Amino acid sequence: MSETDPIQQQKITTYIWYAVILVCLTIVAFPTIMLVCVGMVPTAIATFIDRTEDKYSVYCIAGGNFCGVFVYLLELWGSHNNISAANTIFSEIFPLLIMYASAGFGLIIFMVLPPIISSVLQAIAQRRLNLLRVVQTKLVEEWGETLIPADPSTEKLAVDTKPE
Amino acid sequence: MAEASKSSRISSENGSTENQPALLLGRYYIDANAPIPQLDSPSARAFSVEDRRDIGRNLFALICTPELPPRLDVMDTLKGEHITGLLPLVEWGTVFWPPLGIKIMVVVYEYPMGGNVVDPDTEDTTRLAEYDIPRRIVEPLATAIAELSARGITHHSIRPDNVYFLDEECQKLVLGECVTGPPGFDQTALVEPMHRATSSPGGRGPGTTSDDLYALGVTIFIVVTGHSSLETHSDTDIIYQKFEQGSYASICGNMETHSSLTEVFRGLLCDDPDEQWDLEKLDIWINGRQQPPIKNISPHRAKEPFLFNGYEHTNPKALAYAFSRNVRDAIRSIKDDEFQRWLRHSVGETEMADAINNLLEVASYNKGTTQGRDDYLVFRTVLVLDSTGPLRFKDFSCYPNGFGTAIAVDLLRKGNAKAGIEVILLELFTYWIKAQPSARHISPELKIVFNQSRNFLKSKQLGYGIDRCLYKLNPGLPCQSSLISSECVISIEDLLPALDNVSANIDSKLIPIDRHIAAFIATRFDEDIQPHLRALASTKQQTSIVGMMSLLAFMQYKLHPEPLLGLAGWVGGLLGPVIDSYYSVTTRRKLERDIPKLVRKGSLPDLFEFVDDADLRRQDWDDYNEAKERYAEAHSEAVKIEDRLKEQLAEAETAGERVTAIISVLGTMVIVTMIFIGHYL
Repeated sequence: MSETDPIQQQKITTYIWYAVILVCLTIVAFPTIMLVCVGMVPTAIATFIDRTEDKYSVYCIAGGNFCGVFVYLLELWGSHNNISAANTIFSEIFPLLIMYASAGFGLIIFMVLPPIISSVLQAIAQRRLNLLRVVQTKLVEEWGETLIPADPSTEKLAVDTKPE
Repeated sequence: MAEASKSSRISSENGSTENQPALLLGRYYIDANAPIPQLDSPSARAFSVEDRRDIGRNLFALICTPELPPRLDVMDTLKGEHITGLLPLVEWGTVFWPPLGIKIMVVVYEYPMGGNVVDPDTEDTTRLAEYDIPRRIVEPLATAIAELSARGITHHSIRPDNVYFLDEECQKLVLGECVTGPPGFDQTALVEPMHRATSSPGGRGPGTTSDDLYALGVTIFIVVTGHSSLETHSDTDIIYQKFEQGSYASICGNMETHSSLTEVFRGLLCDDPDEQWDLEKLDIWINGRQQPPIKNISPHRAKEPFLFNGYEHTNPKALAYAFSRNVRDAIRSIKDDEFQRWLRHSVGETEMADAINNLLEVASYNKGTTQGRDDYLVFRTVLVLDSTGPLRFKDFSCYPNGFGTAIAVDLLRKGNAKAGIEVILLELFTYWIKAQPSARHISPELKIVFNQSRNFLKSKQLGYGIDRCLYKLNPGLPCQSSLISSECVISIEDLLPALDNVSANIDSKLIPIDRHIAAFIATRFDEDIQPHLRALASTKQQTSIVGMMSLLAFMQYKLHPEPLLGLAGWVGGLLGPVIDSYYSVTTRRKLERDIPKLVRKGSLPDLFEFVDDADLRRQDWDDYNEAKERYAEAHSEAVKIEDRLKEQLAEAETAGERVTAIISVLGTMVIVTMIFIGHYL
């Protein structure tokens, strides 16, 4: 217990600092904070739902979500930048739809892209492996099976590269 | 057995089928359909010969028996020589003999027009009167023996049926052939001195001029009297009688001859080497002068006979002969106390008895070793009983200078020479040499030959062993390899052409160098071929074939510049393992493609150089090692990739998510930047 205390304390300190910054930002730019808080709700939900350590899904959803929110942040900053302007944005369904749909788009990317990327990486490695095997087969065809070292670990490879 | 089959082949083909005449050296037609039985020698059949350059010349040829070593050195010496009292040897060589379908040794002689001095059909010896004997019979034959002796040769085939009248008028008496077989091989016990008679026919050796004079004495006696009292006896009986009674008494018996003839018979048939007449004494007799009379010394006889194998022996030498012929019974008699008692009391040979007693004691202490063996004990006992006799061990007997021919006869006729090999390996010849009387000169070369033979026999390598001894000790013996037995190869120069000739009709999978050929080359090829023989003897097939090829190529380089197409083709077909010894498939294919071109040139040196090119081998080896390294590198990388692939399969999702997260962050930054720029522009 005594070992975990400093970590817990450090976390608490970090959260206190986040709260201080949030309070300061709220005081300085309340409409912006309000827009971000409302617009980034999907990201907050994703953060709570994703229990993995790395939370890769949060990066994707947050990325998409922020793109959607950023459009209206610019609109807010370009208008009066007050609570009323923020309320105007919230009062319409389309901005909310854009913000949340962009978060959904991030989620879709997170669901679709990883298997594709994984397959591509494997295909590249397999292609290199095949090339090496072709080289080995040609060497064995030219110089005979005595090239194959008498190592049990290479037995499978030897069978694969044995010329017909 | 082999002789019998060959003889039957000869006889069955005589007259029944017409054979083409054989042509010797492009000059002498030998008619296989015209045998001359009256001129046959026991080991060679006689056939009619026509000289193409001199049609009127009367000649005949003797066809040698293939499995007997002829006396080539004597043939060389006598060819073309006109020696008084000797049938002129005109020519010799090898010729294809149609009745046997093989090449064979042939000796051409002048035809003795007067026929045999003792006609076997009519026993007509009346052409000679007793007063003619010295000048018409003894003088020419003694001259022939003297002439041969001057050339360092003995005839060793003097017997009544081998003495001829050269002319039709029956004035010129000559000795017949003496070269178609080993010296003394065809001699009966009657015409051989008693000691030589106890040797096997093949092991009698060239003998001495004294032996020729002894045979001359017997021959003259039979020519003069028409027969001998021993003529109808077996060789064994003749030998026993000679030992018991002495040669003169046993041969001449009670037959009466002119007193001067009695003198010459006593002189020539004397069993004491110091008393026996030599050529000088014989010459004195021919010239009619008186000789000091020879004392009629009877052989020493025991007071009581010793019974062995149903025969009562009164002479230790005769008993030695009997022992040597029956080892199993002999050992019982030797171990019997009665035998030593007989030697001490009946024969009076105490020293002999002591020596045998000593041998028995040594044998009893060394049971299970060579010295304890029965056959060894019999050998030593026989040597004690008769030290001047031949070397006798088991069924093998010979005089040391007839050892080579004895081995050859045993090997080629019986199929093995185990006893002869043991004689060498057990160094029995050293006992024989030590046992000889000091007066008997033993050539130092003989000891060297035996020691050399022992070294050959110790090695089992190709080119050594009994085969090497066979060719070393028999310079006139053709190569006995089954591959070229039909070619009668005597000279090393004829070996490659012979292999070339037989290549078309032989199983091409056979190796052209077998044990006989290797030994033949090692003996008769006057170059250092040890490295080739070592390679040839290798257990690795490719090394052995390279050794075979290098030896044949070396021989062709040294002996035969002309192409050997058949042999090159034969050897080319055996190069598979040599080609396979290259690692590179490309090199192998190139060799396989180009070998036929070189085979068609018939040059073994070129073929060898091409197949076993040192640069090509080095290059192949270097490239092979490089390929091995490349393979290992590729293997190592492949293993790494495989491991990585396995890891990726396990963490594929995580890896994809990680990349997706990175892409998302980067994409967000780009999009946000674009929106920002788009908003303010």
